[in-house]
Amino acid sequence: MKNNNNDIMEIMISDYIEDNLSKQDKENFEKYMKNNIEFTSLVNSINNNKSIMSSQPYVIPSKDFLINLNDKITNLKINKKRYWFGLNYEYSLSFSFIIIFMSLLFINQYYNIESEDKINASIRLIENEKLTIKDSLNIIEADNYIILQVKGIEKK
Amino acid sequence: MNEITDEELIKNFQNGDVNSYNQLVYRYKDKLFNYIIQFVKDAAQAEDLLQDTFLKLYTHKDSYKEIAKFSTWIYTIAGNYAKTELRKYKRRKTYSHSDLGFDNKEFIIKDKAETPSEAFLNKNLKTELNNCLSILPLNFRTIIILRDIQELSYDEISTIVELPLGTVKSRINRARLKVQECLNNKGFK
Repeated sequence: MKNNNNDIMEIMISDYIEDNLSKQDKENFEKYMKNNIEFTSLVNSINNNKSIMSSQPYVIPSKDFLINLNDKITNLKINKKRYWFGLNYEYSLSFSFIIIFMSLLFINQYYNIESEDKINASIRLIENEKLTIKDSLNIIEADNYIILQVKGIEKK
Repeated sequence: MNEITDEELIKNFQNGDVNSYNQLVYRYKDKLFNYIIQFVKDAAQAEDLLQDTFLKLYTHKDSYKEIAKFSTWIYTIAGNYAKTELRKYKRRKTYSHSDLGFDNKEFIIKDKAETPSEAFLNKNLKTELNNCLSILPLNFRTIIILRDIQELSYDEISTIVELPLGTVKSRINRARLKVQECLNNKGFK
């Protein structure tokens, strides 16, 4: 019975030392303390620990803390400005150069192919025309031959 | 004597007033440093984590919504950084040769060679109290630090640790009892 009571009272220790118990509970708690020296000692110890913890001297960050923090923020700002599509300044610059170079290469290649095609087409056209002229000359020659033959026949 | 509230300061900062950010840093740097150092036990590391916390405040200022108090928001950020670091440390410890005999005592401040009579001196009580805090399970430690060292309200703690108020209260009580039990085992009664 005593142990059971002790467990219940233990649950109330924090509320007691922080003065959160109702008047009735507080009276019961103090009555229990009067009859249990060991329990009273426990309550006093916990209260004492609480006081020690809350009165612990504050440890403070080093003198450089704020300077370092400001440096980090400044670096953050600079990096943020320099960032372009998620890349930092150096990378984005190199990336831009690569893109420009590749574009120029592509344009150059494209126009090379196109002009080569045009030249080839012109050559083909000229050759076709040559053939046409040759054909025409052949026809003329053949016609001349016929005429000459017809004339020769007439001479005969 | 109407001091501008934290919530007003963060609102001003969200509207572009960097001076408000500086004021918030001044208000919270010491409190948060003392909070973080309870987890990592190393001043340089605690400073780094504190800087990360304030950098996050700078870069993610718009994540703060006025539904919660600013203090709970900033404590949550700092606590998350500290606990992540603590987990990393524990993982590293698992792979390295621990110079300590058992897992739970990783964060004990180096034990001084003490005689039984010294153990009863009050200054040792403070040291042992810190040692006992260090070996508390993380969920108890966080709560007792927030309540007894940082002196936050139960409501604020409940928001930070995302637990119901009743659970927070009972955990604080249990944590205090555990600390006392630990002190008893070390000879403090």
